[in-house]
Amino acid sequence: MSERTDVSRGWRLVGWVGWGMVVAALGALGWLWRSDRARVWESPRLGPPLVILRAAASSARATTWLVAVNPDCPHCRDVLTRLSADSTASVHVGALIVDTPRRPAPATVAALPGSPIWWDARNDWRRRWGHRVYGEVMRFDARGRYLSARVVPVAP
Amino acid sequence: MSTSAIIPPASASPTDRRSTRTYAVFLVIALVSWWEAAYRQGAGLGGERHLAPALVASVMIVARVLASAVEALTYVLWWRWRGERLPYARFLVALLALSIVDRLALSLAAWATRAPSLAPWIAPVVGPHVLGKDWLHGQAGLRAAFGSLGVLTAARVGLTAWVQAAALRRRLGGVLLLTCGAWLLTRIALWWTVDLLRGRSLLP
Repeated sequence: MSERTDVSRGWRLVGWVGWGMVVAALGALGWLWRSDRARVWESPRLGPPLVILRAAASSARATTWLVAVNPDCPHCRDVLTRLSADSTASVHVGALIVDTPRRPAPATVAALPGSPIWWDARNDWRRRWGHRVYGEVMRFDARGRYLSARVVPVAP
Repeated sequence: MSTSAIIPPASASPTDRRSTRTYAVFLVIALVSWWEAAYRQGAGLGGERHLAPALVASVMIVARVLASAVEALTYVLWWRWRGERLPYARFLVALLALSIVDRLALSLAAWATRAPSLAPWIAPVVGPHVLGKDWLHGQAGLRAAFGSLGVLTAARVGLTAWVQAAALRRRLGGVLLLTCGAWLLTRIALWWTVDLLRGRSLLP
């Protein structure tokens, strides 16, 4: 059986403050979510200010699949390796190096399979396009216009 | 079964104490079952990341116990604030034992993955997430938050409320309202958090 206890004013005040903080935290999260959803994001696009680090063989009709890669993320490299194995003349599979403020070292770029390799020097992927998940695959047409994104499941 | 057998009062009778021991047995079964599931998941992760499956499983179990501890503490503090004392340790044991319902849901979901033709039949029990990525496509936050809403989740929430009502000697209705409200708020927080984490990226 529960025990009914007298609740001191201090404890009651602490309770109000505590539950108030929970409600405030949820409200802040909701406000962040609403702001994020309402923001108008730019559509991704290949070309400046992105910096090309390794070009693909030119092809007027090829589409480009770019994997968002952080060089420190093993999952991203795994996705890029698996996809680049399926690269064809009409589909170029490469990487967009993101969340890397300094220009990647040549050895880092050389370790990445596929082409083209782009570097997002201004962090547009996160700040202007609103994308946030490493390893996602973005599709672009031959003129660098964004078509769609897809997700490659984690290897078993 | 008497509701008072779930969390016996401090002045418990020998019968109530035996019931508590029975309940503790369910706790052990639940923990062993979770450890086995976590070990298998850890074996999958460990091969890729060079981690011992037992270590991964142990970390997962500790995380589960901590999550239940926080859940129990939240309810205990709520009732304490309302001037009623819900025994923390006993309630925590009850919550951990009830997690066997979640474990059952996990097993059924894995079954649906192995036999997709059964998924439409299993979905009402474990939630629509077993229907695959097409369900709420592009709405990863909503899927993560409410994809597990099924009969078993309803049972878990109902039993959590029942355990409290029994311990506090209160009517089930009000406690059930509180428990459903708490569940809904955590799901909404999860929905918004997943959406904020993914931005405009897709999630599997």
